[in-house]
Amino acid sequence: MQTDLLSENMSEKEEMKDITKEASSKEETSSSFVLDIHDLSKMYGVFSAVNNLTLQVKKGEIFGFLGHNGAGKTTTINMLTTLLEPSSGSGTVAGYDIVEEALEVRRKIGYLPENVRFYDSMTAYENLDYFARLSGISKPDSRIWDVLDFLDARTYAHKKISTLSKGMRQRIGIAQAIIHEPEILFLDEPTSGLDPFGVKQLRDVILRLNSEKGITIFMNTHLLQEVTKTCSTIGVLNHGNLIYLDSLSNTMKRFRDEKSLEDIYLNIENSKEE
Amino acid sequence: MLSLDIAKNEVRHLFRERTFFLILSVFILITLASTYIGWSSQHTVESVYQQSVLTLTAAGKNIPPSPFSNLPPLDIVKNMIIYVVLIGSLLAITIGHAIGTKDQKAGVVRILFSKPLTKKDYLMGKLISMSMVLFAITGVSLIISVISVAILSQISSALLLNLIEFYAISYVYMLGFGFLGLSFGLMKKESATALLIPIIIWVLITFALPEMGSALYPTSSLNPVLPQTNILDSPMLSAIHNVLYPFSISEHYKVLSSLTLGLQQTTTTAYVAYPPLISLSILVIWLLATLGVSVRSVSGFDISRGDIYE
Repeated sequence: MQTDLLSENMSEKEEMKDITKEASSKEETSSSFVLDIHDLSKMYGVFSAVNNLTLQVKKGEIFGFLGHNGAGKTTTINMLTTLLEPSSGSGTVAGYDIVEEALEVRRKIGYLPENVRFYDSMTAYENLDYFARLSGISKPDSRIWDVLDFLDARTYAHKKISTLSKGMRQRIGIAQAIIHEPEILFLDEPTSGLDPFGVKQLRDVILRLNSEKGITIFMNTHLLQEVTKTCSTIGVLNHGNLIYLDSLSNTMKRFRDEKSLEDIYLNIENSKEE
Repeated sequence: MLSLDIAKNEVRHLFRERTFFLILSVFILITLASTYIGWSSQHTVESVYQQSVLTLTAAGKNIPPSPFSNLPPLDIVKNMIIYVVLIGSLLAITIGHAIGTKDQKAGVVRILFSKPLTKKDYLMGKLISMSMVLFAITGVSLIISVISVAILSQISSALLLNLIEFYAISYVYMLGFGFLGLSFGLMKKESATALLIPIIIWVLITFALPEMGSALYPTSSLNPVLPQTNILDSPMLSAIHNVLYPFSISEHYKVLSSLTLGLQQTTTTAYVAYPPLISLSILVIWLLATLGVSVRSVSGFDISRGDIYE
């Protein structure tokens, strides 16, 4: 019995080696991809933070980008949000080149950094007003209230940021990211530091953003439980290399013998190490 | 347009900071102090003179002319020159530093640059806010000086114009330091280093260069009076002076300020100063150079950066 399981796992590992290629070669037209990157790399001297990353995300997806600490997830998000210039490779976000058309990309994206922070001496409303203006909205008042209502955060509008809880700040963080109605939202470890209640609230917000507003979500995370509850597709990054890419449903089928996604993740990571 | 939004936000933020009001208070205080000290010293000497006149008249002796009879009316604000050199420029560095490091301290740089904001807009916003804040402070100082002079001495349209010219020159001089504070605030990853470097430059410009340039009067920069003794000269000292004097920004500022206030030359160097137009050009070059440093600092500004180290 044990041998059978082992051999099955081995065959799964063999199968995984070609998964990235399979996923990339899906017969999709490029217009259906809101994110399309090819051989994207980022070098810091001789250290390769991200290595030849090729990835497509379809419109309307919730993409979970998994990986251990230091795998290169944040570097990838920084490149996709045009905060960091890639060392090589190319990519488009919402149809615009991430290097040549950085400002156009920024008009189409929303971004929530890990451990989001604001101007503490200003209220939530003032912060949102400022970021909305920078997003190109000249009269942001009604938009601010709409977004705060959507996030159920109206009552916190005139409170100073320094008085808000981590969960509320995270909501205000999402508010600034969606105030200009982006096509794609980049979330870097959005549930980091939240209590279970906060995690659940944020998960609901992410799902509603996707279903009600049609926003594509690209989410960095290492909380596997969140991935199973929110993501439609997952990618696994290991030491800067994409080692796995497939839909969540296919992943669950492929690794049906594993007890949880955590086991699947470890299985994928271990297969790469081997 | 985005730069104006940034400038507005900077000003709004500064107006909520205790540091800003502290700086404003200090500046108002030194303006008042400068006029009062100028008036007080004149008043004291004048009182002594009047008593001497009575004594000399009673003794039937000749009465010498009043030591202040030929002094220009704006002599009472002359201390302001040295206050701007010593305190005003430091305050400008502090404001620039606060504006340059604010977003990094707040940890919002990545959010800011995930918006369609260029580094050029960002820098423009910062420069505009720096200029506006310093303009407001200098303006308040000018108004206080005008009122003080009107109360303690006399004011005319010509004197008012002189005061405006003096504050305009002071503004240009201080703004350069403000731009330096801002530039290093953007450039450096540690807040302390970002503040220390412009202060070192300030020390060089305010003390080191004038002292080395004048060579014979190492403490004279603290006291803007003409040397009362004969000057020992040597080819080496002249050579040092010739090389360093163009860079003695504070010296050029002092010369120009003295001229606009109608004072006697108050340069601390033992050598002949440049013509006013050249000194003014050097001040303008100083401002443009610091502006250049700002442009350079923002081009290397890491927008994926998180917080600045305290």
